[in-house]
Amino acid sequence: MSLNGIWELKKIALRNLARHKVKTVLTSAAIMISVAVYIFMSSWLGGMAVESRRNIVNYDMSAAKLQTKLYFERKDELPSYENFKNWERYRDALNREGFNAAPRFVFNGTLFSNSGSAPMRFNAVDPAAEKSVLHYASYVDFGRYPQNGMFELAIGTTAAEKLRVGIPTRPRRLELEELIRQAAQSDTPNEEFIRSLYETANMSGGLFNVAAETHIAGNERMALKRNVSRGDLDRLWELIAATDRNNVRINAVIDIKAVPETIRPTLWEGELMTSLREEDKELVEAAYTYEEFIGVYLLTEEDEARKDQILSAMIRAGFRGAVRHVNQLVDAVVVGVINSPDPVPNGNIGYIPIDVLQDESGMMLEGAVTELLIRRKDAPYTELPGADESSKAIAAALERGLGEPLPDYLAVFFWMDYMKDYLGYEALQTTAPQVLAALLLFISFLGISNTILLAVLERTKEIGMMRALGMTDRQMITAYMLEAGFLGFIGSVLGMILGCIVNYPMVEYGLNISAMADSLGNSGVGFRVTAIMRSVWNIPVIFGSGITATVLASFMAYFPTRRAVKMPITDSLRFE
Amino acid sequence: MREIHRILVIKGVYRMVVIKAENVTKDYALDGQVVNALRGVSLEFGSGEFSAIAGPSGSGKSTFLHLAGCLDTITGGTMTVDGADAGKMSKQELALLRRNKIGFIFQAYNLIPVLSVEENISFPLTLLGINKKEIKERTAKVLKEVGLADMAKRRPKEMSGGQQQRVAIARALIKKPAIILADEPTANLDSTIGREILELMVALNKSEGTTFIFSTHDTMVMDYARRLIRIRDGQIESDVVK
Repeated sequence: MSLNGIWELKKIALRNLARHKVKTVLTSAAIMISVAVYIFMSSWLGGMAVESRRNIVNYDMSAAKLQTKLYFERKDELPSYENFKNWERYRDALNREGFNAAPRFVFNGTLFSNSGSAPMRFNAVDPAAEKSVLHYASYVDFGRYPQNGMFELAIGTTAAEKLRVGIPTRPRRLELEELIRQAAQSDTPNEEFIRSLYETANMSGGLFNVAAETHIAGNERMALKRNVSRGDLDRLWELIAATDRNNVRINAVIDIKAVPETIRPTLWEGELMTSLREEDKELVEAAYTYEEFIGVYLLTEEDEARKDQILSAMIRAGFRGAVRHVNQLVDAVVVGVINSPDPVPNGNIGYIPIDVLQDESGMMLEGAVTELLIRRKDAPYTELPGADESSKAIAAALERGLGEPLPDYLAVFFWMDYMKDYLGYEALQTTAPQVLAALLLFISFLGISNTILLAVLERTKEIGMMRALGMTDRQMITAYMLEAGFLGFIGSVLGMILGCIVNYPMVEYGLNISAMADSLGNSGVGFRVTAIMRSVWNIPVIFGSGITATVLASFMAYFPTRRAVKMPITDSLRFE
Repeated sequence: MREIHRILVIKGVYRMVVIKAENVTKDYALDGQVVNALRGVSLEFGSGEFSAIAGPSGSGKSTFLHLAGCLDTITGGTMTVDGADAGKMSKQELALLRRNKIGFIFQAYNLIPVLSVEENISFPLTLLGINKKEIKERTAKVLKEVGLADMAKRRPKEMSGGQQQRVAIARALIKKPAIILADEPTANLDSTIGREILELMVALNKSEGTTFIFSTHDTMVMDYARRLIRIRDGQIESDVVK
């Protein structure tokens, strides 16, 4: 059929749509709404996912981590004994190749304050290096970031609230009075200053409101005013820091792998010798001598390389004497509270300088780290790590810088390898609502199918006549697919416009979820976003959904029309 | 597929055979029972004929017209339309045969309601893929022939029954078909209008040489026809050339 003929079919299709205006409007409105919802949903979820990933990279993960392979395997348990030493040479190698690297020793523990305790994850960090790979340090809401050489902690805002450390943002009146009594030390100007920063909390309004609390005198909720200046906050922090409110104690058990200095004969006979591999026995036996006088096997080997081999042999054998438990209590002072866009640094987490934890007064780390965070030196804040920051690229750069291969037990892990669980969860989070939106789209297609079915039925006689005039079945089906396609097209174009109109404020201003996040205890809402949810402009999704809706709509006409052209022409002509 | 045209001699006039039915039978199922609509009909129609097939309802006259127009397939015998064996053609080939050779006029006019008069008339030419300029010229000419030159832009529902049937005639005529089959063309019209329509078709038969075959039970149509075939119970009762 010629182009002209298709043009003629188009004319008939359009005129038929115009003939049944109400039906056309209703059917395409259904498509419009579903296309708009689909666009809005995917843009929003896409925006959330992008924002979350950026937050993970910028505030928690950096681009990649250098770790021992065994650590990565058990990363969920924070196996601090899977650490490594001599990390400085890897850092220097990376620096030479254009990467920043930050050492960390990560361990679990409990943090005690004067008001309570909380289970915490501690990151022992090098403050300067930390700031070169992650950005949470610029979100220290109150106070400052810890400094080298000091037993200082920065903790997440959730932990600070729970432990009643630092500046309270929503204290009860009596708590505030107690704080004023301690901090102001009967100095009237200071008392008035502190009091002037707080107001009675507004308990009404807001989308996610905690149920109103009963008002008992002194139990009223107070709130830190929103417009308090940085200078006033610093002054308040100084006053609070002068009390013992910010003094805390870390209680942690760190497991460190080490060749034991002494081994009791029972362990030696009962465990070590029975579990060692045959080829390792000689090595171990050579390293120890039995001391009759104290009744133990004593380590006599001094060569570090051989000690490493002995340690590996013991670890392979699962010998528990090779893991040293260090149970330490460390007194520290909270100097800063972190409130970043990513929920992780705001949670039950503490950052402490790594240098003070090295010896007996700290955690006896003795130069060990569990990971090295890595980021390209000029990495832009807004972009996710690309191919030049992949684990492969970084490992290659590292080996170039070292001038030799990476030791077998170490490997570079890309942030996505690390966040597999989260990414799977994110996929679920973004897919499920899209499936719902797609379902909506499907239902509107049923609408189209129904409209065409009725149209075909209504025009049975007309179809019979057109076939009598020599229109082929294929032309007939094309004509109706065009009609349905136009319905889809009108709906899609309107839907794309509507979707963009609805999406615009979500991209420009976003939805502030901090109230919701607060009421959920800052644990986040599934995505790694705490303050503002923003959409993105996803051009392929916008046009893709429009085109898909149009094409699918036109396919919806195929089956009803094919049924119609199967009817004998004489029956169609007689149809009333 | 195509055979050399047979020559038919009617009243001393030599005519080419356009439709040739040989012992055609047609059965169809109605409410689970087989109806023998045609029981062995043999007929020949030559070009330029103006013939009517008459008979009471259910006699099989419309069935024969539909078979001759390739709207339906025969059960037995052979049906040759413009030299082509319709019984052996596919659905697609039949559609093309109808498009090229056959014009239809229906009792209920059957115009496309969303198209204007001239668009309805030019529709068959569009299907044939003829260029716009020629379509325009031929449409204007046919509109003049059926006396609707001033109604080109109207929609079917804005016209009377007679006017609509003129549009249908123009639509059948425009592609210069080998044959125009008219199924009870005057049944929905009053006698004055019906006569006007018949006069128009007679005139076209004379001036253009178009072949018309009617099915009818209207005596006025039978009067106008120059050959009258009577059918009863699916068989030919008489075949008279006036």
